[in-house]
Amino acid sequence: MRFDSPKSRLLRSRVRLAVVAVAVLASALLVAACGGSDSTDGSGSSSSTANAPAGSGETGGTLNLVTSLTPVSIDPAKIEADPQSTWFTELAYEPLIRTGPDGEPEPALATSWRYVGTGNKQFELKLRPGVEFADGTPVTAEAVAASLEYWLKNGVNSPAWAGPATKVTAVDEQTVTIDFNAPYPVAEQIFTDIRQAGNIISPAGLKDPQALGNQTFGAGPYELDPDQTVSGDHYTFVPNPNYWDKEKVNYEEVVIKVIVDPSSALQAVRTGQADLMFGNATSIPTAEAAGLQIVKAPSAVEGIVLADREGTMVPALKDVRVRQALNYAVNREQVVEALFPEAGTATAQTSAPDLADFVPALDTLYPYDPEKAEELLAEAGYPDGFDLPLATPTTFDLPKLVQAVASEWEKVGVKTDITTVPDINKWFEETQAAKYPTYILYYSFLPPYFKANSLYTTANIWNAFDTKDPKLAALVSEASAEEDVAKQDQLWKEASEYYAEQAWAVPVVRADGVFIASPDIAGVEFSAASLTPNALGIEPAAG
Amino acid sequence: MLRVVLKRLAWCVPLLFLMSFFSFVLVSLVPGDAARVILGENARPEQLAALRQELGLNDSLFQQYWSWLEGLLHGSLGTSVFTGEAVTSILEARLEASLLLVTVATLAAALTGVALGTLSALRGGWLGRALDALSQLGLALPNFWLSLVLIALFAVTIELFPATGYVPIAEDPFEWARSMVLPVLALGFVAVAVIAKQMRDSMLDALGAEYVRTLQANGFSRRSVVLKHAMRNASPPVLAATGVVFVNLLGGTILIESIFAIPGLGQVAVQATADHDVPVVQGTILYFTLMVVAVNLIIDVVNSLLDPRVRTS
Repeated sequence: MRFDSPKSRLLRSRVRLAVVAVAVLASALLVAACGGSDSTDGSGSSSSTANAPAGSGETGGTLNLVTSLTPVSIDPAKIEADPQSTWFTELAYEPLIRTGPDGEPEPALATSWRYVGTGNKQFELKLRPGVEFADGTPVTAEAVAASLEYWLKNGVNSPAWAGPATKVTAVDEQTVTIDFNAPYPVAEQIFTDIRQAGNIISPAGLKDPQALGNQTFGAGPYELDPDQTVSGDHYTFVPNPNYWDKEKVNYEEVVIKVIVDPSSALQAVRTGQADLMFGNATSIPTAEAAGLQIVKAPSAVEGIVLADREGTMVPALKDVRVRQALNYAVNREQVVEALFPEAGTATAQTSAPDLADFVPALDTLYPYDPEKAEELLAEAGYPDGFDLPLATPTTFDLPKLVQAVASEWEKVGVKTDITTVPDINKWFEETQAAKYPTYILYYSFLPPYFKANSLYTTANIWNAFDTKDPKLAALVSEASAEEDVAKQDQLWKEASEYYAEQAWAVPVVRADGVFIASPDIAGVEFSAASLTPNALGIEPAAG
Repeated sequence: MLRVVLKRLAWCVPLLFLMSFFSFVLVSLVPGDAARVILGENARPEQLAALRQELGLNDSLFQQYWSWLEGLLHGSLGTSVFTGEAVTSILEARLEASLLLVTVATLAAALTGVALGTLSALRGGWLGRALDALSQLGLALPNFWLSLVLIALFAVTIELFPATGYVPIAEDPFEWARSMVLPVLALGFVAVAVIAKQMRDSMLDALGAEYVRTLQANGFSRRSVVLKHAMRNASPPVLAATGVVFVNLLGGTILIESIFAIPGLGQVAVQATADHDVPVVQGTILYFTLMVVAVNLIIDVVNSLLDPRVRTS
């Protein structure tokens, strides 16, 4: 249901902001004595983990996970695909393809898969024989096809993530194919656990879609126990006796507890009541001082979208030199140090390590150089700068980022006229209607095929003025249809480089998602390509 | 007596209507709607339109309220817009935690307050002044800040009590009690001072009355005069204060339940309001209103038992 989650998180956090902000402030004041030690570097490809213990290889009692969001529904078609909600379906549903911590696909219900024909328009999966749903019924090709059809028809993210899908066919007992009416290179990333489309629902569940909202009907290692569950407070998962891979079941019970207040969640982990929580940068010093594990990996790129590239509202933006100047003018290192200590990396690209279009050199494509910025502005005919309207919502401290960037731009003569829009829905609607020539960029990482749609080629929140660039469009369609994965990745990289060189945006920071884990568990890892630590990868720590 | 109770119950009905209508209007003022929440920001306009039609969100406010009311008159509180779970089952699962939390906090505050107030009325002097100061402090201290401090001190630093969570009383009474200590302290702290102050003032009034001197002159022990006679006469305002305290604490549960992660009505009210889960919000408002009415009724009945003058009015 959430596309790349910014709005869902923006929307939800808004209402809790008062409690969260004051609670964090109060607890920060209270435990201010526990200063943070020197941090480990926040960048790095996969998660960087401070204090990671080794796994013990044994089965544990209860695994306690903490989430700050109550899932609106645990139906794989309706659930938000965000780092915390994913645990609910990961535990109970077996996907066709499982996403490993570094984003690499792993066989689960599907033992192998490939594109058939040319142009990435038909995807074929071979199914594992002899697997049963938790209710004992067999996982057949028909059942898989029916579940896929259900998701494609009702999945909240289906129009955005699987628009080109037209038909699902159970070819024989072990084979399912999916047809697309346009090149669709990301089947391996979408029909997975983390993007929900790959989570196969049993026929019993499909018969009663309302029940899917608060019960599980999967073939996964665990199943939800409604008797030990209070919706909105805690959800208890018990092992599925019919699961095909007993080694994946590391615990006798997994409980997901909803704790809205982040400082309470941290206290719960400190006292051993909970094992894993989704934290934020402010909790890092306290967690480190308490000897807890900090697991970080990039989750979103934040910056400014220079949307009006045709110069309809701000003529200056039409010139690539002006846009590049805006990039050179920002001292990213300093901004990240000040606003994202220990939880961000300065960057001038919109990708992240482990994603197909990541180019390490692009992080520093625009080293801080205010003189060069002024030179470029003068060359383009704006030696005295110009005025630049910019809109930002109020969530996630984004106004602070805007202020920081605006003050850098001020130094080279560009005066930013900032509009703060507290109502996030209003910000989305107005921005999408091209009311503001520049605005906040907050993009959670997705495969480049989707980013291309959002940022490069179609009218979208991140491309509100619907700028068309034939070269970029050509790269995107070529990449989408390219069957050779290495060549495809190269094309995505070229597109990313072009986007950065054309300076369609001013990315500033690759912000980390932060998880805090107790020392009693091991196996907590993830990357920009895997969204969240997989609950199934967690096991009791050795010793 | 019975007439009073019946009259009260009769008033309850229009009150519930009024409350449910107000809350309906207020929730509708929150930006966004359920369709938005379900579909997310990625929703195509056609999807939104279709879902809004399905959920009846395009109807006028009165129409939507009426269809909810119709359901209520048929004995159903409806189902959650998101999970499809029956509202009654959602709220029933949470009623115990909230009710027990508020009741225990109120009782604890009342008992402590009565004891402190009586003592300060009898001893006077420094205790009275201390109580006044404590009241001011209590009113100024935000209870969620107090919660965080209590957790940091008595759950993390000294691991006496659990930092978060709730254990149902049927499951393990001892663990239930342990999980209740900190939330009750945080919630009831303020109330102690309020009740103590009220008790002290009422007690002083009562002790200054003529009949007290008469009773003592007739040889009744000071203890029986205080505990039996003065206290009874001092109780009506204190009971009234306790009723007010209960209602205040009910509001306080919203924050306390969030911080201690207690599965109560307050927590679900916040969640449902943010999500525009109107049936759940309406259900929660009804439950809260009924609790307030019930408590006030009980207080009045107890009052009339203690004070015969009340019964005849």
